[in-house]
Amino acid sequence: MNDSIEKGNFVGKLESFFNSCILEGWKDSIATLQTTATLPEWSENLGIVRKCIDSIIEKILTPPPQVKSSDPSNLLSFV
Amino acid sequence: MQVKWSYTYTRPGYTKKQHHSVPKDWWTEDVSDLDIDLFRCIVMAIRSTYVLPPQLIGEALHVYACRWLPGITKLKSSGSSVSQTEESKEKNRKILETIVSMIPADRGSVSVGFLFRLLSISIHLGVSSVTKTELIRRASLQFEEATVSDLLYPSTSSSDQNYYDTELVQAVLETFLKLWKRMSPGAVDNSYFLRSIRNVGKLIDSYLQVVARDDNMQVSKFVSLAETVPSIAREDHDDLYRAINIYLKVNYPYHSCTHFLIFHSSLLQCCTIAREKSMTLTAKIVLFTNGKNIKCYDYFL
Repeated sequence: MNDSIEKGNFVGKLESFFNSCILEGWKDSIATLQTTATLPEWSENLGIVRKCIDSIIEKILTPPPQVKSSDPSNLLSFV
Repeated sequence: MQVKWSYTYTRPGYTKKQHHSVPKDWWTEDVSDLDIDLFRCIVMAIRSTYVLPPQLIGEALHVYACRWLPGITKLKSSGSSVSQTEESKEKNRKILETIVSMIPADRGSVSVGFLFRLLSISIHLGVSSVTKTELIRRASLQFEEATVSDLLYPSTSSSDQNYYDTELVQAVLETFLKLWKRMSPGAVDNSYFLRSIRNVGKLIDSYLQVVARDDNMQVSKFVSLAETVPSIAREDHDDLYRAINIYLKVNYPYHSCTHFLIFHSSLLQCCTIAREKSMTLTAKIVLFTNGKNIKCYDYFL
């Protein structure tokens, strides 16, 4: 699953999807953080909770026009 | 690049400006979807940066409370709050205590009306005395900014027959007076302190006029609140007279007021205190035109 088995494998893609699409968006970060409650230990250990919280805080503290939207077209560009 | 802005903002009052800029509290509603522990994590982190003004943090707490605590936005909450199960009560108690612990120390970071709402539901939820004391302290610091409608919430105690909860108002008033005495030793001439206590005096007398209409209002509670206001807080006694007058009309419409007053020595005492002070023409007319209470009018003079 990771790059040691084959380059460009699943874990790497998932991570870049998470970083570029989920954490960049406002509502996606909130929705993801809310969902971590269903798998608290995993989310905590994988650092998902921390990353989401950091991303939300950063957006709140950023002057509004600089926050990227969670427009579905972002997802299309990733595919 | 044109960025589309996506956040939830359902509260009224912003629609006009919507196309020009994003409101400062744009983030508060979406963050309120989170459960209380995650919400707390975020708010505490933001607070610690001191980037955002305390009023904005206060607004986020207000939005969160409106979203999760039943009865915080409605005046007549008894219907919904009575039906709460023990489990949801426990959950709401935790939410309320967490919210109170996060209110920024700065005066005015939340409105005094919001503090009173929290106070009124905190009694029903049975929050810790620490939380209750803190709310009373915060409310007393901003007491002079309150309006009568901020103080009007229904009594939630089952043993209390009064519609309005005057005990909490009394508690906040007493804390305010303690604080006022400590802050203004010998500074009676200081116009700031004088204005502050006069505002509170006026507030309480106007409040008394409203609660006087409650026909379950106990005379002891009514008088105790009226008497707690020190004489320096009253420029004149017109409003107090009006309140007593309303109380008598509502509670003893068929009795002779004088008779009533003699048998309720505490109210008599209250009237006597008021009688010794100046009474302006307006108050005299109000009492005089109140046909049934002419005896009352006689007594007052």
